[in-house]
Amino acid sequence: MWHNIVVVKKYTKEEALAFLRTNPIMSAAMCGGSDRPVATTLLFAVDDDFTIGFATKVGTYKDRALSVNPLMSITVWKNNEMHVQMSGRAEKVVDEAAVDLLLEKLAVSVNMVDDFWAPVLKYPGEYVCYQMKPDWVRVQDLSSNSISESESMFTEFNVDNR
Amino acid sequence: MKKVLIAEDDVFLNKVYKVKLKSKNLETIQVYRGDKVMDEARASKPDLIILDVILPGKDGFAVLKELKENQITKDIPVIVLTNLSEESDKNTLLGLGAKQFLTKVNVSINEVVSLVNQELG
Repeated sequence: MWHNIVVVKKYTKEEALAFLRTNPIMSAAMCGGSDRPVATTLLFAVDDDFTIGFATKVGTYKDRALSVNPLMSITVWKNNEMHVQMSGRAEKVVDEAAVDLLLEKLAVSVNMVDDFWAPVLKYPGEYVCYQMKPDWVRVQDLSSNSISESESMFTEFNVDNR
Repeated sequence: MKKVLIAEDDVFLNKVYKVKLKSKNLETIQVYRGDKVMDEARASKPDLIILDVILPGKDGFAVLKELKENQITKDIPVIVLTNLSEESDKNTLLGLGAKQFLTKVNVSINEVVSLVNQELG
């Protein structure tokens, strides 16, 4: 009798970070003042500790939602490659030098996506920058078509941001 | 290495152009105020200027006029990149000597970079 041997790929933090740096568009979910969740798509930049930085314009529903409830959840997904999930608390970046550095990193992220014209760049208004320090990060292998019944398809990372 | 002066008060957009143009082996100079463009253009003698119109300190109309009246800067090609979309603004700026008039909402970053390369030959 033949059994398929399923090898679930486990990722290192460096591999997950490399994936995030080359795929800098995320789906982000948050809960604001209403009883309904909201989801959005955002350009981001990632630091070595998985801190996710992003920008929006002052007064957008994202900005308003995070002002009321800073908890958010994100996913970054690429077919046949990887799926990253994270959640954590977003904080407004207020230090001028930190904002400048984050926008610099986001400009690099823009350049990672061919002919990407980030919507945030198209509208006038003042930028507001956020950083989400994740308290939970996991990565799913999408490179294999096999499904393992005994082994999780996820690699979960310890992050020290609780 | 050819130099491009980017006069754009949107800090993020300015950085996006910087990164994109650097990836095409172009040197960039960032200016965020209209009243700094002339001094910087005279000092660094860029091969091309990307000029926003709504700028603090001095608007793009006045900056362009000044650039074209100055012996050192008059031959530097200027691409105007703005949120203004009125035909009258376009005609005024082209009349003042702008090589191209682009509205931000209608062009992609790659299109702008492609036009920059085209102008730089």
